[in-house]
Amino acid sequence: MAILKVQNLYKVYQNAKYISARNISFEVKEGEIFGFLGINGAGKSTTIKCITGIIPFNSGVIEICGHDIKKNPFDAKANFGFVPDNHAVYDKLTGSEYISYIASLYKMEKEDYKERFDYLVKRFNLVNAINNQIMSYSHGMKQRISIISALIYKPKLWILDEPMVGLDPQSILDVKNYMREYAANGDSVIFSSHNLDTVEKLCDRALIIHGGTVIALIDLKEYRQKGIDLEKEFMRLTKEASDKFDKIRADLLKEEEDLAKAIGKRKAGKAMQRKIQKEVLQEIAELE
Amino acid sequence: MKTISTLIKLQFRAGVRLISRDKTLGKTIGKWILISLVALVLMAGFIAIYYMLATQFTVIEAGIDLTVEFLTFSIVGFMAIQTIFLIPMLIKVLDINNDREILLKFPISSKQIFISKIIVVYCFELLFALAILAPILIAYGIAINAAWWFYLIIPLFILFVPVFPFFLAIMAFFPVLKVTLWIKNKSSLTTLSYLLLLIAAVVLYMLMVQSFVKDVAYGGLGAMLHDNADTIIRVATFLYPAKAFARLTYGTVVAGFINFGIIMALTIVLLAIAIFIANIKYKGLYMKEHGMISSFKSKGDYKGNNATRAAIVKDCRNIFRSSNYTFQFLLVVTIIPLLIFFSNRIANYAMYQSLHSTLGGIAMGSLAHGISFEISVFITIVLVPLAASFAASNISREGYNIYHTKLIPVAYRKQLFIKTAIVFIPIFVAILIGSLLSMINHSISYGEDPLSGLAGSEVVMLLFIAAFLTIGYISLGTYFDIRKPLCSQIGAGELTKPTGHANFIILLGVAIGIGFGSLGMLSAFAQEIEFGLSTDAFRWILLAFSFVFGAVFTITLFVDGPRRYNQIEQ
Repeated sequence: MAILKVQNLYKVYQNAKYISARNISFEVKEGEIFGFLGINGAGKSTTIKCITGIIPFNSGVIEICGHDIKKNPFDAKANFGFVPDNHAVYDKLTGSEYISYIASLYKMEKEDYKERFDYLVKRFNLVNAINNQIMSYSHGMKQRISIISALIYKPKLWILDEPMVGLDPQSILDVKNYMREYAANGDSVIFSSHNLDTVEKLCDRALIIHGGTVIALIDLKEYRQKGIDLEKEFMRLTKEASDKFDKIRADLLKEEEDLAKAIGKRKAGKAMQRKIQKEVLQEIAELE
Repeated sequence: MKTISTLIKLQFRAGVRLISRDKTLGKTIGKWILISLVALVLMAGFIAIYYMLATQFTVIEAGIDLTVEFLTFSIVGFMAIQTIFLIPMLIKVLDINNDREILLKFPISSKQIFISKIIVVYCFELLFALAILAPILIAYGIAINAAWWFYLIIPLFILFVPVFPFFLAIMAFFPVLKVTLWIKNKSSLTTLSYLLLLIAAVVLYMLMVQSFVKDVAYGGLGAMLHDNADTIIRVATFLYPAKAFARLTYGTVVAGFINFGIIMALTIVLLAIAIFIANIKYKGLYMKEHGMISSFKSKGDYKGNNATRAAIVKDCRNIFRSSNYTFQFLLVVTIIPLLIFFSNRIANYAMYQSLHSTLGGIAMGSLAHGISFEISVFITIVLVPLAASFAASNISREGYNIYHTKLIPVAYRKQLFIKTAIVFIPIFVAILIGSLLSMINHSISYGEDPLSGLAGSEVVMLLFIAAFLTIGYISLGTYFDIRKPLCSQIGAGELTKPTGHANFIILLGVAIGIGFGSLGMLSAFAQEIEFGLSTDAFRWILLAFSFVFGAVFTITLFVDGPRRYNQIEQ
């Protein structure tokens, strides 16, 4: 059964002149660790933000444990835990206050909370600092409290955006081990990363996106069996996509510059925004 | 020297941005015209009052001349205000956390950084003096019929008067910074203690004003000055260097030169001391890491699965543990009842002077009693938006944590309700306390005092009017913030000053307050001359307007707000 289902996802930011996510479709199965790869600005974080309901999207269907994030957001949100890339947490609260706040929002029972809290705090090595104000935490500690908050209510799906950035080697190992343990229990993990080595060793499958478009869906078990080097494959695929994507962007820039000469920079920018919105609407209409 | 001038340019470029990046030139010009107009109106009002006071002080009975003393006290007042404004400005400009890591990389000494920063502060001080002190001196000159050369020496005042607040502010800066860093991020208890201290200062100040107004009311300003002339002259004698500045404008040329010499000598000595001490202290501060200056421990026990309660507790903790903008909100909220109470009493005292007189056949005592309610309404509805404008950053204050509010399985409407309630409840309680104090005031006999206070029915009406307006301001501010939140600008930091939306709410509130206040007082006057609108009718109109104002913006927020909230892309 698919824990996460993304179908024909389209996203254009309100003032953007290009498409951030274009017809993205994939599924994450039960017990699977799924990687999300792409260069900076490829659309990884945008897709993750759409999946989690942080930003609205223009078109498409996103289902978490069968619940549509648009139609049934509360049930969908109750089934995943999210760790953002900026480690943003309420740093005026202490670690324990923050975790108990999150647990209350997800309506945990007191007994479950106590057991789970003790386990995760010990597991992620925050026992000595859990009652300290979060603002005194280091970067890695903030990341760990963010992970605990995402896991405290036992979600079926664990979503992480660049989780290894800023962590020390021991913490990276802890997170990787926990991901494996989590998936072994039948739950699923999806994370974005720049670290190809981590994705290669940890994930069952991975999606590579570029310029907001899916360029490959890779079965990493197969790669490992056949001895295919993910790094080389990633470079080849993104190079091909880059050539095509860079040309499109250059054409768009040229068009905007020409337009700017005729009607002014500001109006040209607005016109390009409208053009992109129209293009997306047309594509969506064709799909439907 | 070149390094210092480069650093000064950098400070100005980083700190002064006349045109915001996201605004067009037209919008920026519009904003500055609006700000200038408001400043002009406020300044004109202030100068008019100052001029009237100056004529009172300088034209008393024969044998008593307080001309120099009045100018001395004016300069002291200006210096006090400038010192108060300067301390937070120094904290902001000299803040070691802001640019420490950037500047430490370069071959620049802490001395160069310090000198460049204080030059920038002094430039702002001069602008402040030009905007405030120059009009005061011109009004004074007109009031005393000063000779032409008085106006010529005004630039000397602008240039040298700010030196003394500058010295005081630098001396106060280091202890204040220490207290600020100590308070920062401490527990709610510390914040509350700090708040209580400030409230005590406000109460003390209001009692002093009340006492002054009472003296004036019972005897008139002229009589009060006459009785206390000796004390005023004696006190002014010790108020150097303000006295020296005042004497520049009065007496012989020789005396003028002597006083100018005193000012110059004091300026050089004090500047040298200030720079010497501050440079040593600043170097120490500069080289020290202040990132994790203070934090505390608290065990967050799990209180159960009530999401609403959890969200309220979290927001309250965030507010109480902040030493910045949220603290200003708490301060405004806590002084609202005090200001309602004291302003009511002071206004009543002020009217006592003309209590038994008549104006166009109207008994002033009756009029004074009649407009007591309008005064309370005016004070309340001018103060309320100051606190309610805090809601205009309800969403922006989340900063990078905005994603949290979108992730959690709690409806946006419910989240908006919690956020608005957290702002509304303290304001409402503050108004309630202020009104009740005024009501108690009404029921107590003060002998000859003309205190009228508020009747029970008036308290209820005031509460409803203020509550509806508060709800309106909060809803409107929150709605504006949803439409254009500043989460990504605030990021992981903390909001330190009101946003543009908050300023708009304050301006709107002041406009409504002035409108209603003056219309209310006019209606009381109209009732006395049995012409047109009665006070009762006016009060009901005010209540109806407040209700409609509150209802329209509340409906807008709770109907359209959730949809707009979902569209936030930060």
